[in-house]
Amino acid sequence: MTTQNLETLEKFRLRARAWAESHLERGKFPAKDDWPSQVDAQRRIFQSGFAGIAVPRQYGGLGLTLEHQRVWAEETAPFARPTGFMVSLGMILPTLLDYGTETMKLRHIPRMLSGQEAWIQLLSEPSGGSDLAGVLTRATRDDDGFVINGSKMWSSNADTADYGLCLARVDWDKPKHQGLGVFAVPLKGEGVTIEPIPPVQGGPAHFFMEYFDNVRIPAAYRLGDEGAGWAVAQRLLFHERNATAGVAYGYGLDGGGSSGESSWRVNVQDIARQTGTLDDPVLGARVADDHIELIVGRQLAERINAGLGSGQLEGHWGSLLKLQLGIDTPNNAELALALAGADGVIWEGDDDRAGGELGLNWLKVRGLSIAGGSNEIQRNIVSERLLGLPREPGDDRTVPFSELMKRRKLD
Amino acid sequence: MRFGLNEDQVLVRDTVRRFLEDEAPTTVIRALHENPAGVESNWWRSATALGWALLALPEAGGGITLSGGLGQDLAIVAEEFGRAVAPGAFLPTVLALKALADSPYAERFEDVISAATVGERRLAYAFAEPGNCWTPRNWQAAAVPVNGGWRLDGTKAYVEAGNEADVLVVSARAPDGFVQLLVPADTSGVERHAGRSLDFTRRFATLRFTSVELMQTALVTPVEHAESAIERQLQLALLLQSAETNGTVEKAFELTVDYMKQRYAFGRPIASYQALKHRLADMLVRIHSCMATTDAGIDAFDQNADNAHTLSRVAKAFVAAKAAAIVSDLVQMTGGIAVTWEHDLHLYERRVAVNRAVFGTPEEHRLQIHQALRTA
Ligand SMILES: Cc1cc2nc3c(=O)[nH]c(=O)nc-3n(C[C@H](O)[C@H](O)[C@H](O)COP(=O)(O)OP(=O)(O)OC[C@H]3O[C@@H](n4cnc5c(N)ncnc54)[C@H](O)[C@@H]3O)c2cc1C
Repeated sequence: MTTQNLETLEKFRLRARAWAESHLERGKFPAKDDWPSQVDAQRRIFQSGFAGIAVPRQYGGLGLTLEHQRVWAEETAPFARPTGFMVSLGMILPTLLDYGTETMKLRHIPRMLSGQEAWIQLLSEPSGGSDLAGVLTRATRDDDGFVINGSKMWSSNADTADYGLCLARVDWDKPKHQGLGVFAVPLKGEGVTIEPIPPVQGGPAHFFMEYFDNVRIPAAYRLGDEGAGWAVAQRLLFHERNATAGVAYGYGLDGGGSSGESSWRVNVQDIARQTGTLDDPVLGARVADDHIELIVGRQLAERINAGLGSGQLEGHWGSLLKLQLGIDTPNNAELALALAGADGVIWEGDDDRAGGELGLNWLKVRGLSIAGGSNEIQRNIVSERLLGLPREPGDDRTVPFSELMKRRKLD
Repeated sequence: MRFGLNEDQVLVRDTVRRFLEDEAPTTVIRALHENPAGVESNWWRSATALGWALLALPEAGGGITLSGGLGQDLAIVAEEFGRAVAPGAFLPTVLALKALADSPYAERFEDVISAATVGERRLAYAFAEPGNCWTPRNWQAAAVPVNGGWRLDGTKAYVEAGNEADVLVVSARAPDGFVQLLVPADTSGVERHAGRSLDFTRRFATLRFTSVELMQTALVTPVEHAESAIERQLQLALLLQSAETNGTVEKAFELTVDYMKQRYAFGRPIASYQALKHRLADMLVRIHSCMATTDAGIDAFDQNADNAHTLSRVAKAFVAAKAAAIVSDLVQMTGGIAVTWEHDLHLYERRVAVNRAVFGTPEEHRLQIHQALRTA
């Protein structure tokens, strides 16, 4: 398609604004609890021709540019957007575009865009998440497809998901990174058991555990060629980091550059005012520091987005932003606790979740600095890929995986 | 350094960088440590001949602009001065020029301005007072109108190049606010006490003014302009100083990371140890944050935006605190050689430590931000 045929950004902006004003509610969906409304919103966005803005037309998208996507993100920012589809649209969809077979793309991308299907990531396992290439879930070749056996852990939103991209080991005698495959696994079909993992703060589960018992997958549902599993997984993580850091790359709902502000951040200024601690020289100074960090965090996100947008930065800069959030947000949660004192952790009545919102926030905030690659893993990426520093020595990339397994058992 | 510099800006950056690499390598900086003035006047003339001082002047006043943003253009030069830990009174020159160029009587100062932009006359910017007093509200030095002129009394402290300058731009209290006056350094009643600083080449002086008689034409910034003019100058000072600090930190970081790739311990480069790599990763987050907040502040300054006041304080509070911590940790990661006179890292520490204090510590600026939150 030639650029002349594309709608101008300004025209598109006006059209998006008008549509959002009359079709979306202001505010936000109350988290995931409102899943049916989110599905409905995504369906309406699709039907009105605003889903998959930068996705090629043959897969149900509009075939416009990421600039149009950014305009959409800006215009819809004040409204309740179905952010529950962020993983599907911002992480999985671009990975399918990069590596999916034509069969998968034609069938599933339109369903993702219309809200008919939600997809998730099936990467981490009970045996570990950081050393992702060390997965133990197995994919065994069978006639014209694969059979999956094993278990995955921490999978966000598995309760409402239809498919997951699953990293599994195909060949145990190849070195760790070389014997892998990524498969699209149906989650509502036979052989899949899904169990909730109760989160630390109590209340409803957001992540789940899956057990796969002889789940059959057609050959067309493997992404990438034989032996390309690790490259596919890396690409998925790349899209994930960019989407969570809000880097202007994603095809997702937000993909228009992040505010540089974690949604897990607490407004400590309000707490300080309510508790009278803003006038305290020590606590007040910490509130000022928090205010400075918040402003600078946004400025950093703008800078990195500008660098990526102009092409002066390339590669894993989403990791730098993720690390910034992973350092700043737990500090913010701890400050909230310091300001609230006893009232942050003690309340009247018998309901274990009725009060102590700040205390519960502090309990769960480390999820942010662990999920999607922990701070430590981001530090490895920043130091090795952005600064070019040598890896810690080790033979885990060269010896057969079966050999690594024997060592595990010896310990 | 911001992304997306235009061609002219890149040219200026490269020219200044090449000049400083050739004419101010650290061997030269070390030699200047012995020099009472901290800089040779020939050196300053040839450095100024590059033309960067013209960036501080509006085009109508004979200046040049690369991007339309005075702060943005000057920050490029400041960062290069920082990378080289260069000698010379960059910041005072820019601030004094800005005060003179913005004066409603700017045409009176044409000679001083043009002599300063080629390094023929040196300017100092007398702002603070003894006891770490960087806040105009607390200034004591006073200018009183007498016989159609001015009489100036009081003490200005921490005046960079105050002893070497030919001309001083002095901020003082006036009966109904503040004024800025142009004071030739050899005026009777001006006493200069030369001083040193932790920085190898930056010299600071204390200036005492005792019944200094000045003509009416000495008035640079009249009372009705002073509050906003001085605030703008202070914003520019904080932001350009932050840009300079960023250059110093960036260069120290590059040198140290290179060294850590070469230095071996326990059979492998020290740069391969996670205990060190992870600290370097955190530093990279901070370094880019420092640049981001400086550039955002400068954009607000250039647009004369309402939040320029806040963002300039945010930049100083953030950059100065992080910079000192980073460079100090770079020393730690370099090992014993970095606490010797011969190793260059302390040149960078010295610049960062002085910039930390001049125009107020990060703690003072954080306190201002805290006060603003209390009254918000
Ligand atoms: C809220 C939340 C949502 C999640 N959602 C998903 C999801 O949707 N899909 C999915 O697949 N996973 C998901 N995860 C899992 C997440 O990716 C893993 O928890 C994470 O990668 C860490 O793995 P782990 O918990 O097994 O810890 P481990 O890998 O066992 O790590 C334990 C500790 O060791 C450190 N460590 C490990 N290796 C190194 C190293 N080389 N250098 C230095 N330190 C190291 C880690 O940083 C960590 O501190 C989610 C997790 C959370 C908390």
